[in-house]
Amino acid sequence: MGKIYQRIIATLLVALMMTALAACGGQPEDTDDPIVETDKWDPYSPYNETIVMTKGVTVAAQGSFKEGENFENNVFTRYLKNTMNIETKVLWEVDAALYDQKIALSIAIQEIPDIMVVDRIIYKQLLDNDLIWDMTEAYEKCISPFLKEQYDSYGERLFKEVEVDGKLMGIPGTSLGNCHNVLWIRKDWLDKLGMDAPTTLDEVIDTARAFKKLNYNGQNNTVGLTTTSDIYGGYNSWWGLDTIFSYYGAYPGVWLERDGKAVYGSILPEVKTALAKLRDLYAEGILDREFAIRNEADRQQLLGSGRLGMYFSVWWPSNGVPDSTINDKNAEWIAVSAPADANGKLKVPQNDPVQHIMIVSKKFKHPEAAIKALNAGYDVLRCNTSETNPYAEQAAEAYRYFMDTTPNAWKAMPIPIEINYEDCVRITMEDIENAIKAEDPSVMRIKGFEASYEMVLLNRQKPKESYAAYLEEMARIVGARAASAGNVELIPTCFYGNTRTMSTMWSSLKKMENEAMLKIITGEADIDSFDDFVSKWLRAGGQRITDEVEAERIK
Amino acid sequence: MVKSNSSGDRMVKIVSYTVVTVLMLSCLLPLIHTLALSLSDKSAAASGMVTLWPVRPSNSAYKAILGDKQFFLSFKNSIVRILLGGALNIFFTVTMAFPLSRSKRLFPQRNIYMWFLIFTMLFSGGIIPMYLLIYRLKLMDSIWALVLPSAVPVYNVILLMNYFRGVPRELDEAARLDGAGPLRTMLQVFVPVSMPCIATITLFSIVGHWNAFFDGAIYINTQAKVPLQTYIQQLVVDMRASSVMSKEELAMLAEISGKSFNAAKVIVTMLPVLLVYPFLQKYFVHGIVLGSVKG
Amino acid sequence: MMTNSNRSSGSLPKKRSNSERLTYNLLMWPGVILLFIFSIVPLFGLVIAFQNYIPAKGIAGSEWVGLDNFILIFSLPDSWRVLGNTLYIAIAKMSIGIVVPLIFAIMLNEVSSKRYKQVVQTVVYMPYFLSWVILGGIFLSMLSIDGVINRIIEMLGEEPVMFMADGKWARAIIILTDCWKNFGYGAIIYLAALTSIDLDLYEAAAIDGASRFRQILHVTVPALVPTVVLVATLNLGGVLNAGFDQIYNMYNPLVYDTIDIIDTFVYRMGLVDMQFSLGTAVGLFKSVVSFVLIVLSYVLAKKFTGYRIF
Repeated sequence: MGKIYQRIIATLLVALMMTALAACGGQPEDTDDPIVETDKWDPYSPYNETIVMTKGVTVAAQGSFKEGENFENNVFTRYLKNTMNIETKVLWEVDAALYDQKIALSIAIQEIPDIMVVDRIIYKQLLDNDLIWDMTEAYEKCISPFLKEQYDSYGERLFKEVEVDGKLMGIPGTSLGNCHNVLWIRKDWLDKLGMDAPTTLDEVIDTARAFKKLNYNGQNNTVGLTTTSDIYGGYNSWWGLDTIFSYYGAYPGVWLERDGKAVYGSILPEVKTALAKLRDLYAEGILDREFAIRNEADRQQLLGSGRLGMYFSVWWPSNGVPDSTINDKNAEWIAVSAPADANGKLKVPQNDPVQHIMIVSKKFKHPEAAIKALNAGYDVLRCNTSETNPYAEQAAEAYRYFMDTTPNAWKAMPIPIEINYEDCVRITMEDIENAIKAEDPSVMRIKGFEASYEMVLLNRQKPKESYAAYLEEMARIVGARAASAGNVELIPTCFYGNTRTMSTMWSSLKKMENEAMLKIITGEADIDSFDDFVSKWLRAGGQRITDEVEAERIK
Repeated sequence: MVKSNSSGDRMVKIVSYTVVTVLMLSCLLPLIHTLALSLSDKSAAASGMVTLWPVRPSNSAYKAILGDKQFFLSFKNSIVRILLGGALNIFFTVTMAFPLSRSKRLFPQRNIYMWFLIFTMLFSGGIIPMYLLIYRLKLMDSIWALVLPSAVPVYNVILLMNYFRGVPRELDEAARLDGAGPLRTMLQVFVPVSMPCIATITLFSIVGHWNAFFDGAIYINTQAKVPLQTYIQQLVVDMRASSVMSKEELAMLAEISGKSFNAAKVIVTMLPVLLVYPFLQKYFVHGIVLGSVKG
Repeated sequence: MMTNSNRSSGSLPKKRSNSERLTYNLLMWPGVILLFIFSIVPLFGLVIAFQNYIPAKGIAGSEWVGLDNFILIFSLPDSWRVLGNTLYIAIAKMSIGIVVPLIFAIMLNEVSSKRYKQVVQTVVYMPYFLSWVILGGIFLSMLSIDGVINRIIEMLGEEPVMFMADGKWARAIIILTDCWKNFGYGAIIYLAALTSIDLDLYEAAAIDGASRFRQILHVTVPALVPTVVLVATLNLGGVLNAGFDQIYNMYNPLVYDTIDIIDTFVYRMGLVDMQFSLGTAVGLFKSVVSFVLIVLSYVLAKKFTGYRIF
């Protein structure tokens, strides 16, 4: 009897295993390109049958939506549905910190949303996996003239970055110009000390030293200058010491051309010089002793609580800046284009024009619908009422609704990639100033910034009364003016993408680099350990990657 | 001689009491500190002034929690999870532990099953195959993805199995003579006398489900379904003030520091475990000891 | 882990014993099916450790590379560091996790007030039941530069310490906080062994004029030795488990040097860098080594202490 049971059990186990195998190792679905009807391939024609487009999103900040609205139902999606009969559905919604992880898992199971906004690394993964559409034709036929003009402001360099063998595999979101670091300073502290705003690096350091000594809050815990554990942040970031590096002609983290060959900026001798300086600053206590362990909230709190009077960031300041005015009505911030070198130039490496990339899953039968959705989003967001938009009236109405309800929630767009003119930061700053002079926002050239205008106006009338208005003036006017200052010298760079070896080795090389730099700055390692790092870096795969970059760059 | 002995004995006693008390306090102090933080004013909390007693007491952190919709949703999700997951765990633990506690003569296939269980305990396929499986089974974004994979807690099965084996043979035989079948024997004889052990595994299950955070982060696609620990973990990872805020929200932000707000969340999150644990504690020592460690 | 000798069940009619067996089998099946689905099926995914796995091509279509992934892993300097960290942290946790609960149990045994004993036990078991998400939050906040611990250090006139920025400190903290969380729970097993000591032994020792200290040394400690040996042996299987939940919730890139462990490494490889094959290979390596160690530990446990777990 027992034997029989054993046999039955064995049979059942085998049967289970077979089903299991079938469930687990199932063949990926046929990925042959589906036949797509092409008569709708233009910027605006509507579909007869509703097209449903799925996407993955990060959890929206509180207040992004009006009560009852969400990613699937908001002014943009309704406009898109009403005009072209395209619907948006959320496939998953995750915390921003988990977004890349979710995409990794989606790729692993071959089930990506119809459209996604991704970075270059994931873009490459998607290409390797052959999961996404060639968008060349869809772009050419369907992009609206309104958006095309903005894309064209970048010249050829934008699309070249996302093209693969001449094919446009994704639609880039643009990385605006002028998003290098400026120096934010407490003007009231400067005044207290009778100092002028610094321009050279020495003056910047003297100011930090003086601020520390000033001990504004009386608690002896003022920090001179701080940064993140990454030390440098690259383009469009907060807190990085990039401009101190560039003062010494060092450009860590970017690929430069030296003697006609690609070379990684972090391993050049200029970096060693800059690190030596940072090491001294750290030893002296001017560079925050705890910079490496602070998180974003900590750093904001340093600004907010009056413990930090200067920091480097993009023209859009940290929330710590307006926080400080809540705690202290005397707080006054300015931004300057410093530290300038001997020629008066602030050196900035040429940025990657691609901010992120919108891709369309091959399983989605209507790649052109994604472009149409993109058009629609911007027609609302920027109030495109030109004659090229057949839905101008609806767009204007939707635009007014948007402005009245949730003017900051551009991420609610069906396809939330950022597109704007390359020098939009400067244009908008001038627009706002002009509008204030003319007392008429309609003189503004780029639409969609009326809210900024009103905020700045409000802050002019009642300074610092409104947190948001103060932040807007700091960003759009104070920061933008410093970022558009004429003394920026763009340093040519030569590569922003990813190579084959990068995808396996880059994170450990990055870690090696970061550790080497941290150790030098904190005095844990000798300054000459930089040379060891360089040779170790080259041996551990850096050389191979450099060769690959060189090869891809030429291609 | 006797005298020196007793003074030495007193020494031993004093040392023991001291060490034990110090260790006990070491367990309490971090929690008391967190409680004090959560009840302190923002700036006091931020400056590290708070030790074991609230400085400039304020309940604004708890008020802020009351205004946090996601916190409540997640709290509810976790409650549902421990009820459902706990029930499944107990069901499978009891139904599997009982047959496995029988002798090979009564249940000849016992060892096959036993080895199977042990094998599943030792090897795992890793995150990606698991994710693929959950996806293929269409469990993604559902509470079942959080409770089914861990529905059979093998460790608990072994614990209860060993406990069942310690049940006096006479009880078993009496039931047999009464003509009770295996199911009745299990439910009417074994389960009632094994309550300490079952209480223990219940505690383990509840705590395990309540404390899990990783599965919630990868299997759940909708924020409204995220369990509490996953939500708390995300908060710890990134606490960013949203850029659009009303004046009232900002006033509140100014009022509470990240530290006291986080501390309040930590306290509320601990609460259910702290409430359930003392009731089950008296059983679990007994349950674990009899279930696992008798030489 | 008692294994009682076979129960005599009298002579049962054959029919009844058959239906009894059927019941037992039926009771097992729901659980077995679930285990099969959720524990065995994912194991087939392990084959990608031997492939250059590209999800689009699936397991069937991806290129087989034999042991290349393993060779690549062992050529990465990170792997060795991670392996070293894992062993260091796991072994340290185990050793302290045996000694501290042991001392605690012996000392608690000397406490005569039953009430107090119970209070102490209730308190010290508690941290075991709190998650690392919570505890990580608490400890990181306490250890931060403007946290309470540094405030106390400053009051004592010392320089504040950046605990979680310094590899050595971070490692010590990982080990100590783990001990803090688990020592009470770990003591249960010793306390249980202590209850089985024959009180006459103490009396006899006392009559012989042995001081309490000597009684501990000659009665209590020897009684605990088998349990200590058992725990130590069974721990062997866990030397590659340095505690993912804890470290994931407490680490930062600054201290990868000393507290990045196999599990966190696998996590980042698989879900951050999307190196599915490499991540799986590391995971498989860990599983196999652990399996060997566990089998070894059970064999040893059985040999030295006669202990059988199943």
